[in-house]
Amino acid sequence: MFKWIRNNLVAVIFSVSVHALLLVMLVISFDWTPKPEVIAKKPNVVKAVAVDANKVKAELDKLRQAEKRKQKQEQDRIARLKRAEQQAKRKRVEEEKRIAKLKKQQAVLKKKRVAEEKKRKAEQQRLAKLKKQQAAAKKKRVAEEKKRKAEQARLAKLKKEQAALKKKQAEAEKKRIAAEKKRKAEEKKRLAAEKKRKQEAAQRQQELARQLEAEERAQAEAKANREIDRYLVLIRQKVARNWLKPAGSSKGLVSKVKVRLIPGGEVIDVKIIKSSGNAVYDRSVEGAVRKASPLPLPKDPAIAARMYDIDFNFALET
Amino acid sequence: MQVNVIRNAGLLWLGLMLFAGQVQAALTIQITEGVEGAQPIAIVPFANDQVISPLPYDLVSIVRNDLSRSGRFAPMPEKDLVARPHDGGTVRFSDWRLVNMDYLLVGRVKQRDAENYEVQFQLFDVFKGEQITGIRYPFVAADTRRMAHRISDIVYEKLTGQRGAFNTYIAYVTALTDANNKRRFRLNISDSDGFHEQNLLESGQPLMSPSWSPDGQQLAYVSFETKRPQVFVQNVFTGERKSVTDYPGLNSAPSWSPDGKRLALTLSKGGNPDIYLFELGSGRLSQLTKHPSIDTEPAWSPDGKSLVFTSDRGGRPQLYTLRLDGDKAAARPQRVTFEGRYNARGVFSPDGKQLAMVHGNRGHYRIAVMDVETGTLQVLTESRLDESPSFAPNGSMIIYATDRSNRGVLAAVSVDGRVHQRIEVQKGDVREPAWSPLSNRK
Repeated sequence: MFKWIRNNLVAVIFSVSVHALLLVMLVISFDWTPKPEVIAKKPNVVKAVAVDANKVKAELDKLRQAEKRKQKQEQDRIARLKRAEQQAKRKRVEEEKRIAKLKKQQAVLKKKRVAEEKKRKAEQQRLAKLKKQQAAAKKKRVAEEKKRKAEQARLAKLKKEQAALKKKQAEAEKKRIAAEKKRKAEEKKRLAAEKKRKQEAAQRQQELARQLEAEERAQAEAKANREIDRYLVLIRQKVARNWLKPAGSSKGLVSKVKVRLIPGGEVIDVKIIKSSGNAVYDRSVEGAVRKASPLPLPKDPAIAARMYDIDFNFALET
Repeated sequence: MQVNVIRNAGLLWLGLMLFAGQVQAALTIQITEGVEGAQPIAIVPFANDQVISPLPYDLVSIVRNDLSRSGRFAPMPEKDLVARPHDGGTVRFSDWRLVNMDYLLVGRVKQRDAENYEVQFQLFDVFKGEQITGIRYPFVAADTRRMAHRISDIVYEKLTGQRGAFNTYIAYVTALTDANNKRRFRLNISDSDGFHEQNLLESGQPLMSPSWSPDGQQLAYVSFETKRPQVFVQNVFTGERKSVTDYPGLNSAPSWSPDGKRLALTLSKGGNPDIYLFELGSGRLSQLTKHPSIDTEPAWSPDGKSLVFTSDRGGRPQLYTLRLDGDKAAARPQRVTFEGRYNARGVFSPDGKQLAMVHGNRGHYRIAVMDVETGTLQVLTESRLDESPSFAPNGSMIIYATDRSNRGVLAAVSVDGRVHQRIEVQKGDVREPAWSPLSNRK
């Protein structure tokens, strides 16, 4: 063993160091709270330092000698200590008993305290959590509220925008309609004006034509009237030539006859419309017209047609 | 401007329409003159297919002559007749219109027995194509002429509106030299056409101035049978006669008053010829004129209220009128003729509006008529020596005596002077015709 240790002194030292470190760390770890009164002697803590192998061998040789002396000393001391320890052990057992009792009490207390603490902590934690939750919730709510408000605002804005847009659109539409209306009205007006203009033009044309026609008609009428007058004279002459005045005094006698002619001037009807009161005079008058048949008529049938109805007044002047 | 033009055009148009309407409605021709002339009439010989014994005279010829003589008708010569229908059923007016005949007379004579005949006739207005009248008469052969004159009267009255005067008489005086070379005077009557002469009185002494009573039954006349002039009244149909005045001196120119009760006449019992009024019933005489000049040839106005007479109180014979009604002042004779140196033998027309007279001018004595109201004188004849005008009772004609080769003959002139006709059927020297009244000839 030893030999192996010696041969593997470094490894052993390292291993022991590591174990020691681990132990220390364990103790430390166990003892950091709450700090009980540690009675155990603090082992010497070797400070491990990595060294050069030769140096380390030398060192190790030196150390192994020191170690052998120390081991003898240590064995002497352990023996003394063993005795002291036996004694201390008894005392410590008693102490330990008391301490255990106390420790038990403390443990209970501590357990209680821990439980309470735990409970408190849990409560605290719960509260914290709750608070956190609440905060979170609140935050969330606020956020949501904010979001909602934002949304609302957005919506409102949107709405407003939409309304504005709509309004704008409506206005635009209105404007457009108005414009359209105006345009249509103007178009209509223009068309009406156009129509009116055309109508007026047509009317003017018509009026002109009518005027022209009237003038032509007037001329034709004048011509026709001249023709009629001319033929009235011819008719008068022919009838007078054929009127065999009744002998004796016919002074003051007046016969009016209505005479109807047909194309060619033939007399087809002679009607006394106002008798002279003298049958012979009336007959002479009728005879004059009938004997004068056919009466001269204008060549133009249209003019002649206007002479188909003639009244004759037969009244001798002498 | 435009508006004005249009409005003017409108007005023009309106005017035209009005004018056109007026023209259309009332083309009126004033006829103020015609032609004077005879009315053309076609007189178709009456059918005599049912006559066994021919009539002594041709009815239609008498009618044709009557109408022709009146001056109011121009009968178509028989040879020119375009058709010979005898009743309305066979008349084609167009035929007669073509030859410009205003009227058409057709008829038929039937013999009932030896003496009795019947005539039916129709008068048509050719241009109107209508019957004016259609009549049927029975008559005896001896009355053929009278029947014809009646037909003439009907046609005349229908076509002129005045009564016909064909069926009347003319009284006149003829002077003949008989086989013993003695002058014989006769008072005769004849039909108005001069035919059918009947002698009422024959005398070796002059007969003068026959005057018809208004009823056509009697004649007053002057006879020298007692060597001096006396006024006689004689019934034409019975021959009964009597002397009505036989005053010293001249008894002449009797004129029967329209009421038939008086005679106006010329007497010279006062020294020179003056006009007197003799009442036939009482024989009372009243002097109407008293003047140293000659007043003679009185004639009554148709209303019996005035006389026209001839007087040379102005130096030469002129006509004067004398009103018989009213006061003395009005009874002063009024000279009515001033044209010409000689106007005598005045006689009123039946309507009183005209005076016919013998108008002497530069040695010519002609028949003239004067419009009483205006004094306008129209000379109707162109002969050298006319005398004794007498109006037909319808006033359409004047019969008078005229000199032809130193012999008096009768002649007639229409009052308008257009138609002259000599009536030369009488023998001898014919003077002083007097046309009978219309009335009483059956």
